[in-house]
Amino acid sequence: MSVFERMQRIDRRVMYLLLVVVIALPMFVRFRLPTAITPEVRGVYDTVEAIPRGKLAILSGDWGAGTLAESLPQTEAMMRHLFRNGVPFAILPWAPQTTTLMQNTAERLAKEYGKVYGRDWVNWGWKAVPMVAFLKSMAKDIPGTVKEDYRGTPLSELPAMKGVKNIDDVGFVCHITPVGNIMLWVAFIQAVYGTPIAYAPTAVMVAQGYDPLDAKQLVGMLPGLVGGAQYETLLNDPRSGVRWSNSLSLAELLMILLIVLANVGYFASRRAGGAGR
Amino acid sequence: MREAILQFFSDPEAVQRAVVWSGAVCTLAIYTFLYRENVIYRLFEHFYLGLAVGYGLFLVVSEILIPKWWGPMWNEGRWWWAFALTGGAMFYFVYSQKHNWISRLAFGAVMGLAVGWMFQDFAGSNFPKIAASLKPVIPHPPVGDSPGLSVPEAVNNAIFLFVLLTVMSYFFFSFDYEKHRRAAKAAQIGRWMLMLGFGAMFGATVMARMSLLIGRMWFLLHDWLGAVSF
Amino acid sequence: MVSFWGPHTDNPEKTLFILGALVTGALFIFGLTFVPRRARKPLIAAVTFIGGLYFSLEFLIAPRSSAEPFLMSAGPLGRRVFELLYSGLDPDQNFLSPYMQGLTNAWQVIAGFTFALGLTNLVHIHGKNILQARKNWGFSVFFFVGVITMAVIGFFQRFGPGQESPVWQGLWLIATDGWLFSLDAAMFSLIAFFIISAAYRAFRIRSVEATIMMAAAFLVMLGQVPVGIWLTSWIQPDWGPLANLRLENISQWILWKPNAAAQRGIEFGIAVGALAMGLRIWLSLERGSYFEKEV
Repeated sequence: MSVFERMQRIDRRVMYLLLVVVIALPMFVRFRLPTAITPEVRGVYDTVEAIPRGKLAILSGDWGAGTLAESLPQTEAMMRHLFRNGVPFAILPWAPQTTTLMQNTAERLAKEYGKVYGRDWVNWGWKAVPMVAFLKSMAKDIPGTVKEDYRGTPLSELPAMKGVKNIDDVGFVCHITPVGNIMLWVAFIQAVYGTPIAYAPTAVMVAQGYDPLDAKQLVGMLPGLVGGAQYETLLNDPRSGVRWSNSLSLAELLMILLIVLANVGYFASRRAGGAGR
Repeated sequence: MREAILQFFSDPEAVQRAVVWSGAVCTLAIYTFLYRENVIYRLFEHFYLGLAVGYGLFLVVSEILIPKWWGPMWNEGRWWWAFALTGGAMFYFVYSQKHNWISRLAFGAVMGLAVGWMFQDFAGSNFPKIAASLKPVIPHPPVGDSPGLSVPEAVNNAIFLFVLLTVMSYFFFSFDYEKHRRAAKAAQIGRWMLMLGFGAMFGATVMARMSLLIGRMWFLLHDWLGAVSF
Repeated sequence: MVSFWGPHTDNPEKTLFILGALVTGALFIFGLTFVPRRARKPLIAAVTFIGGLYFSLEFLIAPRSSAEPFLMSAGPLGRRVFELLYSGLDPDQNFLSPYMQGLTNAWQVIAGFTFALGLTNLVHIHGKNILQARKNWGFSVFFFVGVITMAVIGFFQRFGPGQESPVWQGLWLIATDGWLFSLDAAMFSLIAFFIISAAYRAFRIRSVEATIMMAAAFLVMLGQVPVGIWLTSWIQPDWGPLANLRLENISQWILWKPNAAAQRGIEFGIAVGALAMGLRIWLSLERGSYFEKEV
């Protein structure tokens, strides 16, 4: 086998091992690389800064442990910003795991900022599909639709929900999700009531997010892990997002290197008249 | 024995250690698949499926059926909620050879509802996009309240419109490309522009999948082994 | 005296009403079995149409704020219609809007009942594996172990004495955080390995399209991560138009301009296709193995 053919036939287990090494390396060795703040992340930050006093924010999510590395930095960064600015928020989970994951995150951060459940944030609890009917109903009557929090406490007994009747009392929504259902929020809430909506997708849905961004249907977007890292940089509080984005950088470099290697081998062996793949 | 169990579960740190060790064993069992297909992986795969189904069952009963059906029906006396059982039961006729069509009534109602939502969604999400697609392409200074348009912005808008129109032309199958060469050329350029979009989507997909692995690696190295810290 | 429609909170007759509703429902389904064959498809079509009618009409019918000036200026008949349909409603509501919440709750409950459809299917498949001692039936045993373990722990820790018991709460934590969520995350993270080996094996520049796609992918990937930003950090932001050659700027331009336009083109194509498909389903014009199945 020629060297060019070998370049196209690296054993997959070697590639897996290399991937593990390049991801683990930045976890052991700290280094800081520059982070550029993109306009879409800045848009989210500026909108949170401008939330009118007395309004509620909604952190809507349907992520699970499978997308933790992307959704957790996004969720944490949003919660830190809202806690820091004293904006009460409601967790609106759309998936079973999300209730627990977002609640655990809020409780962990609440200790740092001296925040109290019920007063500074609430968790509306898991709501099953269909999302559309729930959004339409919630927009007109939040207490009537949501009724109680995840522990069964009526919303009327939670200080953060005092005076919150409908979507006009909501100043900001951020939807943190690994699936492409942001357009439901856009179609039924932003288009009808003008509520500012931000999108925090996993990286796989990011490319589709630029279309509604361009149409000004979204105020901004946190694109995956990198978006969380950028937001942490804006908050001047680098945490897991910034740390993990170094691992992401090296993993992508490895992937590009392997693809280039395979293509060099392919073209070289074709030119040499070999049976390149 | 009983006291030892009670003591263990009364210590939050001991429980957390058990959680982390369980998680690590489960993660490593799944990762054995990377070497090759094996019994350990298959066992945990089936266990995972069972756990997910059991979890879903628990959530449906505790979060929906009890608070939204049983509670209103029995505790609040709203007896008409009993009819929901009739609606739900109709779906199960999918298992009947003779009366399968009754399930199609239920599915038909559901599909009808979904289509109704889709009409609303179409209007709400696409009409603003159509309006936003009509971008100015001629540079001009500010006029009244209009902010004006610079040359680079006009060029970007023109590129946007060009890409949008060529991509849309790719989806219109009404032209015979043998006869209409210009339409064929536009569709070909549209295909190239689609590749730009797909390339961006591929790049984003790679980032997303790598992030999943980063999360698990952090769990193993930080939460389980304590070999790294923030 | 409590009205027929209730609610019958402490009324001992509520059991009778509930049983009566269940019996009525059962009789309704029993009655459906006598529907003649040639009436079934029209009935399905009618139910599908009515199902779609609510949300369509709720969207199309004018809200109170739009209807009021028109109807109030249309003479006594218009005023009568307005009082009948719109009185007591909010300005952005029409006469169908108040039923939205009830419909949402009913839909959530009915969707909850359908969960057992999937459960039944899985139990059937794995149960057969075990009962017929098929190959690898031992794995199916683990499936049932998982279902029963999670369901039992879940119900015990949520209801009854388990709510106050540290043992059941601890077991729940182990079952969810330790087992389920970890397995979920591990399964998803396998994709990272597969994507790198798949891209290595399959990604070859054989055409113009593949070249464009690969170039866009590389630029977008590198432009979004710190190492890519570092690669072109030697280009200073104050170098005028040359600053646009920084990787993050190229990546941003690709994402905001050609990518956004391409995505919008795809979305329009999909939206029009979905609209056409939706109309065909709503009006029962759709053909295919499911829709043309004999009833």
